[in-house]
Amino acid sequence: MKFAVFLLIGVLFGSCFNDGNCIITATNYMHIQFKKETTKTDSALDLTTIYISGADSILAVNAATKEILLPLDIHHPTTLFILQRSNAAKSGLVSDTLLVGYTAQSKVITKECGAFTYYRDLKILYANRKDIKAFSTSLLTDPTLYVAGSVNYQAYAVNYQIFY
Amino acid sequence: MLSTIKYFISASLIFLAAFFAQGQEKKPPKAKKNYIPTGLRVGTDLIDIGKTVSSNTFTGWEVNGDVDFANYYLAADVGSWGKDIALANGDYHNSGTYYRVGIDVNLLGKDPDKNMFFLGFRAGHSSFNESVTYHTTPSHLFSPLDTTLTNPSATGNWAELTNGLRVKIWKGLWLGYTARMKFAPTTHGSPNFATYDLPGYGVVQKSLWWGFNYQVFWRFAWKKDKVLLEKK
Repeated sequence: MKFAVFLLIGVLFGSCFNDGNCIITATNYMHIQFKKETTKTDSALDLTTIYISGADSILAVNAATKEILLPLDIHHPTTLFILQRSNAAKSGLVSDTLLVGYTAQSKVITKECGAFTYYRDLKILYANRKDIKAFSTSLLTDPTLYVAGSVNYQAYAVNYQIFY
Repeated sequence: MLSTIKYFISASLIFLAAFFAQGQEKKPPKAKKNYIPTGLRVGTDLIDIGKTVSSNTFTGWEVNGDVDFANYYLAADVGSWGKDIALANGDYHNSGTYYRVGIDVNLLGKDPDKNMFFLGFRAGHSSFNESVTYHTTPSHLFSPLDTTLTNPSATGNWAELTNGLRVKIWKGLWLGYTARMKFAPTTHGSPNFATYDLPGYGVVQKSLWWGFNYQVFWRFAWKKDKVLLEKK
């Protein structure tokens, strides 16, 4: 009888282990919003191209945008961005330079989800624009806010606001 | 998680009720507490042995011991575990040793055989190493990346609330189980590698983690426990 009781308890508690949920908040996309320096409201920039160090190609934008997701170079601890934009006042193209540094932390989420790299301690190492406001120093995304087929900026933590 | 807690509470209440009912039937005379230890119980976890034999992804053992001080028991566990876990995008490995120290309180203080239904507390410590290798496929702008990281001399601490049974089967042979509600894990190691599986604890996450030991013991008794009767 005692053995049967112990066997029963073993079965009961054998199912007490779960490995958590597969919610991946890791991303290598830095979220930047553009604001008007005078009114502090959204400002749509006419971005044309973006050079990203370490990237295979130059990112062509060719659209007015008030926020953007910029991918960090996952192979290096720094990434240089050169944002080229149309400037009607100067009747030509203007370039803004932004150099950011960060650290990477590896985390195993679950064995089914796998391991991912979290980027944090984000800081500006150089920027030619001085009016920049920092928000989250971690690159995070909320997978529950993904919209299929489009980019949902709301799903990404805001890292910087650049004022023009 | 909810179902786990329900199982835990239900099993505990069933055994508590059963043993108290047994105690009421026999109505033994009230005993004075004798705080002088009467024996050392040493055992091992059969689940760890079973997993080591049956699985090629886990290697581990655990030795458990306790000494009685009336219905209080000084309990200690020493163990080792190593895991090889295949991830969806790589592999994880860890290996380490751990110990736990704490107190169990036997709620069946009047049992003449010193059978136990206990609640207790443990503080745990682990020294371990871990490594991970995984593949990252980023956006089209960057080439894929294979990452290999190690945490060569990490440590961790945690706390546990325990509940369990120790039942005398024959002479010095005892069987028992220990259910562990583990919480408050802290780890110290490489800042670039967040510990996944802490030997002795389990998966390090914000919520509770559960453990279970199914144990066999031998009790080395050096003193016959006397049930001192109170003079009426």
